[in-house]
Amino acid sequence: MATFGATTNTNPNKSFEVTPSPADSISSLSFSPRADILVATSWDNQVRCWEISRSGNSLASAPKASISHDQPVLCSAWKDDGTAVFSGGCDKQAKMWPLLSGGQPVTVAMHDAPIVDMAWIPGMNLLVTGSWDKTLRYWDTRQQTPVHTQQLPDKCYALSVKHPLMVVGTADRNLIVFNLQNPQTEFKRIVSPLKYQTRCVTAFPDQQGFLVGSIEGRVGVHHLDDSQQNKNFTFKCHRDGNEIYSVNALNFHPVQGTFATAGSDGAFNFWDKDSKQRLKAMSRCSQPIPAVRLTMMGRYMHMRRAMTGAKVQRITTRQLLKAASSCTCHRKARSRRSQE
Amino acid sequence: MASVKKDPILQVESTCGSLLYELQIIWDEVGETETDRDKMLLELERECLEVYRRKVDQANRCRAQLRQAIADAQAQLAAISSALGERPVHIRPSDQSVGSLKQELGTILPELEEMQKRQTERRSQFMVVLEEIDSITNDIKGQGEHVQSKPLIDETDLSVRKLEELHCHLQALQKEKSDRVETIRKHLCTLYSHCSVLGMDFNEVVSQVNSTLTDPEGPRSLSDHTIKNLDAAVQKLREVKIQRMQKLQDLARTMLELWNLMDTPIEEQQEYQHITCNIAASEHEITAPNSLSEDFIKYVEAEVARLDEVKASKMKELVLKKRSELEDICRKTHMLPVSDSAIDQTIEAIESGKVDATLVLEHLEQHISKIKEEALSRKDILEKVEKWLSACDEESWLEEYNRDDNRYNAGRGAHLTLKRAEKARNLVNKLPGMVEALASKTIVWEQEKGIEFLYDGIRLLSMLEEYNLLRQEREEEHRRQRDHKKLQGQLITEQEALYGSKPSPSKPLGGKKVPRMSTGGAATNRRLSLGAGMHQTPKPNKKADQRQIEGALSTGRRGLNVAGLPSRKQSMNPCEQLQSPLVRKPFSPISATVVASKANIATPQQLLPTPKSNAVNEISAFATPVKNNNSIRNLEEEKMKMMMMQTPKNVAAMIPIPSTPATISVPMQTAATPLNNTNARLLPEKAEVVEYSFEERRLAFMLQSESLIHV
Repeated sequence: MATFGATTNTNPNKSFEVTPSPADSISSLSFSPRADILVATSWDNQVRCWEISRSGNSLASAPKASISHDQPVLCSAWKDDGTAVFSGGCDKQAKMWPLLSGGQPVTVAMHDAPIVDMAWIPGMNLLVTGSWDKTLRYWDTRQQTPVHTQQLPDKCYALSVKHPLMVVGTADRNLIVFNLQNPQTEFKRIVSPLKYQTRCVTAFPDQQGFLVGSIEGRVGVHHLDDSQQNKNFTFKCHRDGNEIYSVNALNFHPVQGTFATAGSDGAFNFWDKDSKQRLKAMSRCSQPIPAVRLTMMGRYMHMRRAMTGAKVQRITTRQLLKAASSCTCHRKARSRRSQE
Repeated sequence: MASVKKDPILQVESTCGSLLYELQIIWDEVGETETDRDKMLLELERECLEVYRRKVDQANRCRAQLRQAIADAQAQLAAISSALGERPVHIRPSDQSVGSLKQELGTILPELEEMQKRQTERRSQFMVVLEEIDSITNDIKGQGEHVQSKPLIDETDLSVRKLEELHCHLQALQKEKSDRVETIRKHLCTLYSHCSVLGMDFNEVVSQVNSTLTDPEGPRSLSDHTIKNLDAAVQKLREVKIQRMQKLQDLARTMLELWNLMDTPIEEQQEYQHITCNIAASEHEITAPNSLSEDFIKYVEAEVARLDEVKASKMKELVLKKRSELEDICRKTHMLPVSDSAIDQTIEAIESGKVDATLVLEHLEQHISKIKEEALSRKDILEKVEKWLSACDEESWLEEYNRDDNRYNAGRGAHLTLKRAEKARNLVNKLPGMVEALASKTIVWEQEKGIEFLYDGIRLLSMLEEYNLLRQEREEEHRRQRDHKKLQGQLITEQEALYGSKPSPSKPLGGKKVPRMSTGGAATNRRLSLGAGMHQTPKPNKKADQRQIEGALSTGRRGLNVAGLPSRKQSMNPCEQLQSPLVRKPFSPISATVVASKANIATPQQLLPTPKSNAVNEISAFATPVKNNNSIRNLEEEKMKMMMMQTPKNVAAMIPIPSTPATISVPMQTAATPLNNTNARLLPEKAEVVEYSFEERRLAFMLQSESLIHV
């Protein structure tokens, strides 16, 4: 913190900080779909794993294991059965790390340029990786060669899978929608509703559309069906007066359909797209938040913050007690208990 | 005879004779007197007698001693044999003495010895048995440190019978001991199984009862006290077990009920299968270790609590659904829905946990069924009302059509309009009858039910009455117009007569030009179109008013006259209208007030070209600066809570015009992070050069610095 002076506050929301912190900025977070295991990739070439446990209202984290790449790691994804985690980055390859069995990581995917985003497709048992070499590649983890290589119009920047919907954001504001039942052909190609570079995309949990965030502090809500085009809109966020910050990450709540955005202004907010409301704005941290992850049961939110050039990183875990409708449930449970 | 027999005596006698002779010789020589001699001889005789008597006494005493010894021995023998309970080998009655006393003593002594030996043997046997008895008794009595004292032996009774008795006693004791050991073992077994089921520490429980029981090798306390304590402990654990089992079964039952209620998938149930399978099990059937431990019960309790919560939220959903159903029915049947505030209050009560959702649900269901019943009875009349209203529409359309002077122009679809007009005329002719029938039907209904027939909160009869009045008025008007026309016609003919020319057909006075194809518009606002002069029926309260606005926004079927607003604008975020003074058009100069309020933050032109912000796409509420302003944040949270209770349509009413925060303390405003600064600087020139993302830039930077290091 010394670099920023005493006035900056890295944790204004009193979130829980996962320790030990990586030595450089964090690039992605993923939470195991089966257990409270958090995996973070970072620019110091490391992939780390913590176990998050909760007792009452307090959280605890225990560092479990880590592996390293030759170059900075940019993305991670869990296998849907929670047995393995994939990570990929600037070394142009993706590794599969069988965490549960404690095995050694093996390279499962290769690209001609760094891999920026990846996702596991549970319905097909395939890993999809997007790269700056302007291709998407589908990988069966047991084979050396990709099952299919999909040419993209430009460098891939972000992708999101909600089987059978896959949305890929590329440079030059292209958004390509795939129907994974027929991955060889593009289902739709549209120009982003936002005027600036696409930073992140995420598909709706109901597969009816997707969110796209840009570097200009704006998020677009886009529906796929032409009949629902009137429901499309964009909104501004992560702005402070004249300062405009990038929207770095979007993530849907797995249960409630609300979502969180994280921006370079160091804030993360909760939104409800259906009622066009901001549900909650969290206090700003001193560093940008590159990603946000709402995770299973909505119990925790994990977010990463990083700062290029400076060696200050934190992962904080926040317990979502007041998000959307869960807050009423909690309140009710508490009052009942007190009556008893 | 004696002298013959006993030579020494003879010798003694001869010695005495010779000594007497010697004495006489000596006396003679001395010349002792006769008296002296007699005296001496008498003395001699007396001394001799004395010696004899002494010897006899001695012999007598010796005999007495012998007799005593014999008697003693015989007494002892008798005592021993009586103690042993058996006769000595050969015992004679004491008077039947045979032989001399010494002989007698000689025979009796070995016998005595024999008997004494037997006695000691017997005694040692007794000793062994008694010691054993003592030790067992000690065990049973539970004197932990039993004193190793010699058992007391009843010397008077050492008989075989007694020994047998003791043996019996010993056996009984041994049996009791083994029984007790068995009991304790059983208790310990039960205790162990209970402990394992209840998840308690067996050793701890046992050591509380008796510390000796925990040692598997060492001696265990067998006392009544121990057994009683053990029994009590077993009972206590059993009670605890039964209690817990009942609790668990209660929980399992609740869980099953909740599953049934919520149709929980089988996979989720599988996880708790081992609990629910014990739902009907009796106490002894539950043996799985830890199946009743406190942790386990807590775990199940937590699951039940979770399910309960889920159920509660589902209940709430159900209540809301029911309520919307109720509203739906009400809307369909044109009845006034139950006062919203009452339902809102009940929902609030459910949330706060004061009222059971099921009660409310029942209440709602009853209400729905009641409303449905009523709706059924209203159906007949409602159909008629629909017909009447559509007829009214047609009438008003016809009216407007009639006013259109170009109606006979042959354009596209003119024949359709003509046909429609024909039909409408027919319908209008039937209207009075229809109204009549409807009124009578309504009156009958009202009489039957004893309540007024309300159509959207307005009495139908009054509506009909109003309509009739209007109709009369309109007929008046028609008549007047006809008269006017006639007059005009006369005027024209007069003018014609004067000037010989014909003026163009006069336009209707004050007639608004109505495009012919806009006829469909009349249908959007049926009740208002009953007549041009008909005023908006005043609504009972503001709530209803609001509902009407909603209605207008959602269905457009009824509500305010929206002629001034294009319908497309209606569908956009209504807050726009509320905030209109604060909305700034893009590229327009920033007025001081707008800047201060920051309601709509303009994109800074020096940093980024302002994107053309489409007002429809803006969610102005989102742009409200709320950071570091607690009051506004709280307001938003409140709003959010309200949101959840009310229908999303109400958003318009709830989004407040953002109040101007007096002081906005944004710490990062000046100290922007380097990442963003570089972004801001890079962005303007980005349009011309190749597009790069942050990651690409950073990687390039890294590689560059690495290569610099290598160089």
